[in-house]
Amino acid sequence: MGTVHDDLSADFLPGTLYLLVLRALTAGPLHGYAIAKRIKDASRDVLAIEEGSLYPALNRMLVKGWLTAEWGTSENNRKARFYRMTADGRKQLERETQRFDRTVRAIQMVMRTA
Amino acid sequence: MNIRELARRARHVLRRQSFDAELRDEMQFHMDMRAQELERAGASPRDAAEQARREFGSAARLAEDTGRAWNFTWIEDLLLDLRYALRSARRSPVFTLTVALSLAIGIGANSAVFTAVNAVLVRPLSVKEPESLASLTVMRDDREPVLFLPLEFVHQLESDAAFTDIIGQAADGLSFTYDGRAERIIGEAVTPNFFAALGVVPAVGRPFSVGSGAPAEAVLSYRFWQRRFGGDKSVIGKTIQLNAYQYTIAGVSPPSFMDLEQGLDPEVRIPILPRGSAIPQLQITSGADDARVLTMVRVAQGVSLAQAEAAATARFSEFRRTTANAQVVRSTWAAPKLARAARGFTGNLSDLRTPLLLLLGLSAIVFLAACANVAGMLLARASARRRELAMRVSLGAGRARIARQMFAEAFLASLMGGALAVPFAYATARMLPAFLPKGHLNLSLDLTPDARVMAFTAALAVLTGLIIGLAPALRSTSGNLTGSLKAESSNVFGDTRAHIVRRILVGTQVAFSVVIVVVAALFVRSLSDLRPSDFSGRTSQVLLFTMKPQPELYTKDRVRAITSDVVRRVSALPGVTSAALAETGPLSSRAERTRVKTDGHEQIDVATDDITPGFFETVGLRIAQGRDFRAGDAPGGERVAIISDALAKKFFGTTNALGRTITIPADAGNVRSFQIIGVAADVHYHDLHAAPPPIVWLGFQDSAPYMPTLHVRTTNANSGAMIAAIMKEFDAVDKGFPVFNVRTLDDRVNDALSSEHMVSALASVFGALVLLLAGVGLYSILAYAVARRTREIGLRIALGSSVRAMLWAVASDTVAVIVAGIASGAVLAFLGGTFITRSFPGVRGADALALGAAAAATLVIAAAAVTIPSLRATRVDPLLALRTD
Repeated sequence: MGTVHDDLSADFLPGTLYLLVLRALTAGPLHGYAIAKRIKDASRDVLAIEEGSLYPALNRMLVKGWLTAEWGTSENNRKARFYRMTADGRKQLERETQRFDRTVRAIQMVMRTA
Repeated sequence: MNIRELARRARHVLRRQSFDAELRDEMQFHMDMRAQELERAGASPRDAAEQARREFGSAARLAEDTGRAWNFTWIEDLLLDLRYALRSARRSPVFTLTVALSLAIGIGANSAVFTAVNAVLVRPLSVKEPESLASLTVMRDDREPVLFLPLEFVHQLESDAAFTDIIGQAADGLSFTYDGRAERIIGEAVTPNFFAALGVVPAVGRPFSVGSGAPAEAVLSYRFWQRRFGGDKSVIGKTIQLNAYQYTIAGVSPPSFMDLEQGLDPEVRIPILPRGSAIPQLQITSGADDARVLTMVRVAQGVSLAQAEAAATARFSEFRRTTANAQVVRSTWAAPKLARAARGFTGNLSDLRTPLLLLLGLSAIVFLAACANVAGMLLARASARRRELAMRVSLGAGRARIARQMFAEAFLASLMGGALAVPFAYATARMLPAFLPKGHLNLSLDLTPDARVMAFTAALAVLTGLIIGLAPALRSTSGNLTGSLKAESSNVFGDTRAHIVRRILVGTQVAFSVVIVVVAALFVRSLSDLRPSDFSGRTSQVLLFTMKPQPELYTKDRVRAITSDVVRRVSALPGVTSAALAETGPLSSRAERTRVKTDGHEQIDVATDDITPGFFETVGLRIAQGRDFRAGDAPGGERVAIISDALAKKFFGTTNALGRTITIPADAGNVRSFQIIGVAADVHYHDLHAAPPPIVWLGFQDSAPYMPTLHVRTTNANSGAMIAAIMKEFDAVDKGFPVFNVRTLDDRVNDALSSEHMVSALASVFGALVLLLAGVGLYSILAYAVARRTREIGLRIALGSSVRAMLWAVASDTVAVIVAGIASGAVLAFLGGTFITRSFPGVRGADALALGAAAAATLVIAAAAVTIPSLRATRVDPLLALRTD
């Protein structure tokens, strides 16, 4: 498959949304709304996203086998779909994290010295 | 994309319906949760729901995006590629049409030849389990097989467990009487199990009734039923007359089934009835033990061919020991032989094998030339589109993506070519039966394209797509694509790499043209080389009529009487120079042989024929010494013979042959002596490809005519009025025997050269098409180059370049290619010529004349293709040219 392109935000680095979703799922399975909320809360509302665009991304990750999904009951007793990170997903998270760190360090270096 | 991912996508297809509903639920849940949160923060329920929806975005669009995550994107990409290819095809209709027509020629030529190859060499009989069929013959001790086996032996085999079915058949001409003159048809007597054993279900009606006391029934062939009865279903149960006997029509065989004997399509089938209930009028159905049939067996399941052959051998030894059939007892028949026969008995069409394989080879060359042509054109266009492609690459299109686009365009072209090829192939294949020789058996071929032909064509179209897509795809993904945003090519063929490839492609086309044109020239020349000079006068003015007075209906004396009556009456007609009978005549589809001996010489095998006085004069043969037969040389008189010069030399050397005696074996070990009264000049009596054979002509002294041909020399060419007048004389004598196969001696000469006619006609067509393709290829490349270099040309003209220099500048690039192509084509053609002379006697190899003619034809086409765009270059208006771009 070619490069990943997300609608999350024009400013996002490619693949960052996957990183954020995987990061959000390290503690355990979550449904889509909880994932979106965790990303927003953790970034203190900096990453304001079009929330619906989470779903195409989640499904692409299902196709790639980084996540699995199953139906369960939410905290307010409604039917909800819970996403769980797979072993492949964890590997992907490590790869993405390293790459992200490298990129960020590079950018910071440029910002400091330039 | 790995396998597991593919599996997940495939699983998704199965749950697509529920997936959409679940996704809607999931998104609704998301918005509800957000709304609840907003309400808790103090918003009104209405505002909260509104804001949640807004924050979420367009649910419909997002659902679509989500669904797409699961799709097989390559299928959609492919459709997209094809749609894009279609659009660009529509944008340049002339280019598209040229490409499609080129490929239609390449694919169509192959499909046409394959249709014939399939019908003659590949397709099994359309019967039940053809692969378990085997032909049964008996080898003579001289290794010549006996094809027709005694019915008695065939019946004895029926009880053997090694065989599930024993099928016998024997075709013969029958008189079919309807209204007016008797018509000759081919009837086939078959063992009564014929239809059941072969699993052939009649299209109308039913097979014969089987068992003792069965009535005389006939099954019509589908084509005879259509031709003679207009496909009328009510003919079932009606009575027809075969020879003098009444048969009831039981059914009509299906159109897909012709016969176990390839090339035969007998009009009527009648059963060989058991002895006692047999019909005495027809020799073959008389049930007599000495009747003989072509024998096909079905080997039992689990029995190998060798085991079955051993079983047949044991049965045959038993049969030879016990039979009362004197012919078998005296014979040199040694051992039965079984051969797989899924295609039936193939002897009738075996002569077509070599010419068809040669044509298949030629059509493959046409195909490659067409592919080279189209690949060159696509490559030229890919070069022209380099800016566009470079742009797409720099905007992020993957190289694989671009290559795929090139393939999509090639495949679209090959699909269009394949679709156009089907009618072309059908029309060409329909021409082939015209080349089959016509004789006492009318050979026919079922050339309707079947599934195998369709599959062949489709496979060829796909192969075409791969071949022609390869060069542009490689080209478009090769290294320096982005460089082409800046660079302009500097010569006719574009930049260096494509330059070389396209030179090779064009050179190949030129070489292929030379090869095919040479082959066509060789066969065209063979037609005049092989045309016999033996017959003086015009062969087209000698009319031939074959008669078949059925022995069951006419006594020998009656046959003598009516045939001599016919000769006398026809000779007296105005416009007729002379008329005579021959049992076969020269270049007939039948040939008779006999063994001849003279004192002090070994017995030899020679061609023979029975003729009436005036025959030599009628067909234009010369009696070099002695005299012709005359009326006095009658049955009971002194036996006389005329021999050919070749036989006279063989037997008597330089001494006079006249008055000498030869002996010919007769029945029961007796011999008959004949005095030689004449020596005739040598003639190619049966085969135009071999030296004239030794021949003995006899004068019907010991036999009555059986299926004689009336030869009539007329003063004007083959005319309908003359034929009608002669037919009227036949009717005046007797309407009870059929007259058929009405042709001229010239037709027989052409039939004797049917393979050469077929190859030369098709090779000429192929040669013309390939030359045309090469011309189009050269033209399009040059025209394109001139168009691209308009600026440069304008500049040169402005700077005072002469027209001649201009012409040379444009054309020089192609001259080397053309010369190299012609040279390598000549080498290939020379090598091919040696193969052809080995396989086709009478065809001379590629010599300087043939090669020169082909080279000249190629040069003329190439020159025309090069000159037109070059001249256009000289007419470039410098000012206009410099202002463009």
